[in-house]
Amino acid sequence: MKRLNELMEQANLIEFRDGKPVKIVNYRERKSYQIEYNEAGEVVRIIESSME
Amino acid sequence: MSEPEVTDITFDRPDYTAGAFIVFTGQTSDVAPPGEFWARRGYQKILTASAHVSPGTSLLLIYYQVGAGRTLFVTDIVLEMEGPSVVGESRYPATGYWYFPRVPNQYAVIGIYKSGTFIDEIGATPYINIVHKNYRTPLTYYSGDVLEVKGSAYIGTTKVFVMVTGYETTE
Repeated sequence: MKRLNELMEQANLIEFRDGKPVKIVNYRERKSYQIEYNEAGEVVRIIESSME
Repeated sequence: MSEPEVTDITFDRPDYTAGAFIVFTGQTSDVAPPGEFWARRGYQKILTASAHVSPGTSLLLIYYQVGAGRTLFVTDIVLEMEGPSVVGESRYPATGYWYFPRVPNQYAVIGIYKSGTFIDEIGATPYINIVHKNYRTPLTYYSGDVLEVKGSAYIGTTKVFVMVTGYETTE
């Protein structure tokens, strides 16, 4: 959860669904992150990908 | 009070876009942005959400808490109602069956909150399906403040897209 907060703080673009971040883009680091939740609404995985 | 040192502002190069400069150059309000806006480094922040909103419910679309040592300045909010844009058309067809309206009866509305307090609302209809609100004096969220956007509708369920743009300062 700490990592998700850090990513959100540093993000340039955050896409929300039901008030929860599902995609985070950081243009300066040229990276995007996909956040996956389980049915209870807990973060299960953060998938990092590069824009390069 | 001395003039702010405008020349000291630096932005992270890839991030600065028109947004800040709308505020810089289009400042017509009597109320100037707070000192932090001019004094600190900033980078662009965009928060988006897409959802179906319905009458009688308040759906949480965006929830963002400003991190320690940061300040978020919201300069623009855009609400788009997805569906037909029918500017200038009548609700009922000029020919054909009058009881089959060609424009859906919809009115989507979003509320903008600061740490639980309602501060503004924006509405959209099929007749004005994209509404852009430009805050010449940015909405300011200090460290720890929570920006919430909630969606609802007066008539009928409708899909909306919300975009909040602004700048967040670092040190």
